[in-house]
Amino acid sequence: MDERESFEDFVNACSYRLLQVGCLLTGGDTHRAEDLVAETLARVYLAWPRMRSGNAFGYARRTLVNLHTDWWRRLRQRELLTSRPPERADGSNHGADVARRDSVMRSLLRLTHRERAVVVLRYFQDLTEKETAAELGVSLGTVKSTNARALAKLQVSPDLARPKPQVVQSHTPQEI
Amino acid sequence: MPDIDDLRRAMRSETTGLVMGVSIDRITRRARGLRARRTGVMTAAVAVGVVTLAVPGYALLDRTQPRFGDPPMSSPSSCGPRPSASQRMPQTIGPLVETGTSIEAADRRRFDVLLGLIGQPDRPMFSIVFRDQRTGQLDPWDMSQVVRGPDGDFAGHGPAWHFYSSQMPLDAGRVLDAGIYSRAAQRIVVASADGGADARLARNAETGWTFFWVEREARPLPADANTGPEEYTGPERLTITAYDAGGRRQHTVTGGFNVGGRTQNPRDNGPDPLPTQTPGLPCA
Repeated sequence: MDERESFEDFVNACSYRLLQVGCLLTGGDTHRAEDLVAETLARVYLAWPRMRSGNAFGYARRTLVNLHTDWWRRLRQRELLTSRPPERADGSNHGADVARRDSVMRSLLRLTHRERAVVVLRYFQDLTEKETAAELGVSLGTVKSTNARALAKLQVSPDLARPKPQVVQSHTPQEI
Repeated sequence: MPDIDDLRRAMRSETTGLVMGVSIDRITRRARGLRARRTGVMTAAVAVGVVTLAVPGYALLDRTQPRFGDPPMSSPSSCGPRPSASQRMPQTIGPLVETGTSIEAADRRRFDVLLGLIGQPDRPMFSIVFRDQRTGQLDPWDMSQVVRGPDGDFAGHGPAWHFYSSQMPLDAGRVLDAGIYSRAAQRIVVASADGGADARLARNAETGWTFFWVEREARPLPADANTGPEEYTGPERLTITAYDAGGRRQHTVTGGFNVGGRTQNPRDNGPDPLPTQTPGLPCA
C-alpha cells in the first residue's frame, strides 16, 4: 500500500472523530470545525512518512487542539462577538434532549479555550489527566485545576461521576 | 447537568450526525499550500470564473531581447485585441512575456501562454497568464508568490533558493517548462531523464530576475509529483541549471517542491479545482 492510499485510509477512519472534537472545541461551529480538520489533516499529510508507524490519530488530535488554540488567539475578538449568549435553554419549543444539547454547547462556549480542550479530551476522548497534560503540553497540576474550574462553570460535580444504570430510551434522540 | 456521565452523553449526542465535508483533494491541496508557505512560496489557485483579471495590451509592450545563445522567439509580438479600458488591471511588475506557446481548451478556444510578475515589488507573484486568442482577455491562472530576500534571491525557511518553475503538458510527450530564476543568466538549461533543452530567457528589469521557458520533448511529471509528502524522484524530475556569460554554472537545482509543479490552466481546469464539498467520508 503506498503512502497516499494509507493516508486516505487514515482519513477515512479518523476524520469524523476529529470533526467531532473540532465541533466541541469550537462550541458547535461546524464550519470552523471542518476547516480545523482540513488544516490538521494537511499537516498530518506532510508528516505522514515519519508518522505512520506511530500514533497518527493522537498526533492529529494534538495538532487540531493546538491549531484551535492558535486560531482562538488570533480570532479572539471575533469569537467573542459571535458567540451565542449564555442564557439558559427553556426547552419550551424543543424536546428535552434538544434543550440539553443546546445547553451543553452554550455551556462549553462559556469556558476558556483551554478549559474546553481539557473537558473535551478528558470526557469526550476519555484521556487520563496525565494524557491530557501531555496532549496540551501543560503540567498535570494545570490540567487538574483547569478541569476543576471548567466543571464548576458547567455545574458538574466530579464527585457525581458514577456508573449509571442503563436506561432504555423510548425514542431516538432528535438531531439538531 | 448533574454529573460527568451526563456531560459525556451530551457531548456525544451533540456530535452525532455531523456531515464530513473534507475531501482528500482539499487536504492535499491545503498541504501543498502549507508546504509552499513553509518554503516561502505561496501558491494561489485562481480558477476560471472566479477571478478574471484583465491586463491592457499596453502592459505587453515588449520582452527583453533574446540573449546570446537563446533560440529565436517563435511567438508573434502582437498582443491581440485590447481588453476594454474599464476592465480592472492587476499591477504588473514589468511587462508580460510571450512564450509563443498556445493551448486549446475543450470548447475549442485557444489561449496564448504568457509569463509575468504580478503584485507589489516587495511581494511579487510569478504568474502564468492565459490570453484568449478570440477576445484578448488575459487570465492569470497560475500565480505563486515568491518572497524576495535581501540579496534578491528567493527567501523562505532555510537557505535562499534560486528557481521556481511549473510544467504544463502539451501534446503527447511534449511539455512546456516555465519559471523564474532569481538572478541574471546567460543560459538556462531545463533537463530530465528524457533530455535537456536551452530555455528562452527574458529579464525582468524591475526585479533583476530572469524568466525562462522551453518547450521540449519529455514525459511530463506526474500531476501529483509536487503534492506528495515526499519529493518526487522519478525520471521526469527536473534539473535546472543557470550559466553566466562565460559558460560557468551559477546555480542548479534537481527536483524539489519548487520546480515542476503542474501549471493550472484553462484547458485542464486545474489540476486543483476549487474546494468542493464532498460528503460521504465514512464515519468512524
